[in-house]
Amino acid sequence: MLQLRCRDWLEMKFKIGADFKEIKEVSRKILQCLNKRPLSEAFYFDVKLACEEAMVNAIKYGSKSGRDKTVNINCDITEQAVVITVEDEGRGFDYRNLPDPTRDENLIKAGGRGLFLIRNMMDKVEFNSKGNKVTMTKLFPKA
Amino acid sequence: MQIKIRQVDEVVILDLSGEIDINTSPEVRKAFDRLLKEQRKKILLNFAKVIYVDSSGLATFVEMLQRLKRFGGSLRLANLCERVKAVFEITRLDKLFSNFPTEEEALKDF
Repeated sequence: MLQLRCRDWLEMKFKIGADFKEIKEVSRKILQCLNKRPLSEAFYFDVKLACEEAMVNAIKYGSKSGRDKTVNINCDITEQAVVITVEDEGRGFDYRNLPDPTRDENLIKAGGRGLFLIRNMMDKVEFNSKGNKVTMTKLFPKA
Repeated sequence: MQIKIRQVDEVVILDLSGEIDINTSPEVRKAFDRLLKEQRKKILLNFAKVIYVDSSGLATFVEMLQRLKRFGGSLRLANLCERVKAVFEITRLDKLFSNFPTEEEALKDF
C-alpha cells in the first residue's frame, strides 16, 4: 500500500491479486483512515460494503482470466468526501444493462445484487466507458 | 465468522456471528447442507451477533430459502441489526424472508 498524506487530504493506493481474502485488508485500512472523523456506524458500513462489493466484482469478473491479474484501488479522502476507485484488468462489462434485482421476478435469484448495493450505499457511482473501472463517492455529512 | 448450532424442539437454530461475506458464506452453505442431509425442515438463523452481510451472504440466504422450500421446510430470521436489516430492505429481500425482532417471536411462527 502506498499512502500519501497532505494537511487535509489523504490518498491511498492498493494493488491486490485475484484473491477474495485480500479485500478485507484494503477495506480495513480505508475505514481506519476514516475513523479519525466523527461518522456514524452506518456511514462506515456503507463505505465498507460498497468498497468490498466493487473489489469482489473486479476479482470475479475482471480477473477471471488469470490468477496473475491484479486490481488497483485508489482512495481519496478529502474534506468533503471519500472517493474510491476500483479498476481491474478485464474487458469490462455493460453496466448500463443489468437486471433490477428488486423486481419481483428477480427476488428469488441468488446473484445480481452487488452493483445495486454499491449504487445504494454511495452518493455517486460512475464507470469508465469500457466498464472496468468504477469510481464511488460518498459525501461526509455536513456538520 | 462463527456458526453455533443448537436445537429448540423441532427447530434448528444457527447462531451466526461476525461478517457473512464472499469469504465466509461458503461455511454457512456447508452447515446448511449438513442440516438438509439430516432432513431438518425448520431452520432459524439468529443474526444477533452478525455485524455485516454482503451480496454473497444474501445470495446464500436466498439459495437456502429456495432449497428449503422445495424440501417442504421453512426458514426464519431473527435479531437483525439496523444496518443488516437495511440491506435486506434495500434489496427488497425483506419481502422474501420472515424477519423477527427476537428469537422467541421467530420460534412461535414455525
